[in-house]
Amino acid sequence: MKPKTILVVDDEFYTAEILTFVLEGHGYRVLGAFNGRDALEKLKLTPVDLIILDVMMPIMNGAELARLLAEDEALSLIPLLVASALSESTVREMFERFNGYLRKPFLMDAVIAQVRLLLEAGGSDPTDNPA
Amino acid sequence: MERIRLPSGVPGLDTVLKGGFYESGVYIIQGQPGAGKTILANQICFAHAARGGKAAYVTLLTESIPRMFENLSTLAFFDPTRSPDQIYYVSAFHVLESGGLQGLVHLLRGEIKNRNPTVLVLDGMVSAAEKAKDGLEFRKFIHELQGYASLLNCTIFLIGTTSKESSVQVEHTMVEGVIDLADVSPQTESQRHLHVTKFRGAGFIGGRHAFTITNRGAEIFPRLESLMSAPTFKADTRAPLSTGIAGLDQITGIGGLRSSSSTLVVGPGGAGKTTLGAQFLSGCSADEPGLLFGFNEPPEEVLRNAAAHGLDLSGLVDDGVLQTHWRPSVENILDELGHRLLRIVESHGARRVFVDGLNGFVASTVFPQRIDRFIAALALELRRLGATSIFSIESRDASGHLPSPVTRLPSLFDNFIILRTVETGPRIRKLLSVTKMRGCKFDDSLHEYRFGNAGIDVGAVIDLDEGGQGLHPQDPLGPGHAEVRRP
Repeated sequence: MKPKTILVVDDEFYTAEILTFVLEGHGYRVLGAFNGRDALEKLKLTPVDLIILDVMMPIMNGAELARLLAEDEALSLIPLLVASALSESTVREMFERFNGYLRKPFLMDAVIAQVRLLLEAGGSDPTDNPA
Repeated sequence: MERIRLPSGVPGLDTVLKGGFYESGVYIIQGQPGAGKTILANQICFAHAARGGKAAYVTLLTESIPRMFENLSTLAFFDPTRSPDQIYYVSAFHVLESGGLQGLVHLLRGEIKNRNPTVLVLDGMVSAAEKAKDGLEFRKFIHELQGYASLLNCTIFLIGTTSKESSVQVEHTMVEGVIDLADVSPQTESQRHLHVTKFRGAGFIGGRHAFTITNRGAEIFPRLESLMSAPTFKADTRAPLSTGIAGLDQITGIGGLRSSSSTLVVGPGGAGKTTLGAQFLSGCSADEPGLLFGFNEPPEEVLRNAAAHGLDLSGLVDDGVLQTHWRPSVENILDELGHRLLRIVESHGARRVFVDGLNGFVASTVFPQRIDRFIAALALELRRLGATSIFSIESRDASGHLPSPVTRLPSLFDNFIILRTVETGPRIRKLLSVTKMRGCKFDDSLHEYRFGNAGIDVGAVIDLDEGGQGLHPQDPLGPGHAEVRRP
């Protein structure tokens, strides 16, 4: 079974590191990008099942990336889990299209729960429904 | 052409900088971990945003931005709705790790170009310095920042940690200003201090200034004496203010205290210093508002004791003509106390001010050598504000000796009154003498006083030699020199 792939887009090095470590521990494959532009480059090379997206980042922020993804037929189907220090309403003012929201700083249990909810719709095996 | 100033938004800091930062300047704010650098830098950003400006906060630290938000969330200036439109937070830790200083410059240039901030904070300067291959590369980095600051009209703050291992001094010669934050702990207590060590383009108030971090954020309290180096006064020609004690008014020779003068009253505990002050405050009115600024007894107690002497201070408080402010004499910050007192006097327009327990100021200084200059500045500023003030201080003995280290105090005040208690046979007698009353032909005799129905009642001149024991007539009655002669 091919594990599901998650792209973590976050400029904070250690946040990305810890997310990667924990998600890999739960059987997911994790890619990292430090800003929106970096994420686009990664998406060109690898299909992903979920994007965990920070909002305030240098070069290209999360809102700018989300708008570009929405314009692309294939990429617009990838669920977005926003993880930000900004409130959900503030993020909604910047862009509408996201599927889940986590207020930073978050607990990893909450991240895993949201990831499962968005990826597996009730399932718990990250290798189900291979991308 | 005069350069435009950027207000810091930090109370007291613009006073130290004599007008704020300069737009397009590059400044270093540095200090030990926990010194308050991040709060100060964020406060500058939020104040800038509140004026409609845009700021970018770029961190090179491992502390996460969400955690920083959590820590800031208890501070009054923190307004999360300013972010991300007006204050944009990004981490450049990874960029610095992977791309070095050039990568960081590229990122900063992009942030300034794309988001047009007019304030940019780079938090974690030491990380950048350590990433530089050598001093030359780091100096080039600072030069580049200066170029962007100037060309793109962006004021840049570099936040750094000071430590012996990573002391970064070279860039101090390049930037326009350096602010040091430090904890000073000469005793068990510690106080935060801010010290501007460099500020190009204008004068600034040098030396250390106390600062606090409360839920209002950072607040600087410039050394009071540094603000009063060139006091300006208009002569106060208003009528003297009654002390509220008929006998004392008579002794002064002018029917009370000269308007805007300062008076020091020294005496042992229980001698009636607070009662004397209460009598002075009982003269408050809409035309002569007053302030009780106390360190010893809480105001309620002072008001209750005054009522026992037939003085209705509570009524004056209810009428709004008398304000009270109490600061228990525990760990206070000297300059914060001074500024607080002056602000109340100014906002309330107080003309009658009684400071109950000058010892409270003395106990609050971490630099005892400052106390005389501080008190002198406070008295001068009260005079400038048109307030007539009485300060009480507890003597170290029954004969009115001033406690060390404030024996020079009388020279700082316009007027000096000593209260004493002396034993004459089986009686303890209370004596009052005026030893200084600037500009007045006053009565310098010893007067006996008693607590009557309306507070202190000053009586006739007394010759203690007739009573046998007590003050000897040859004893100098000047400040700090009176002696009680024991048989």
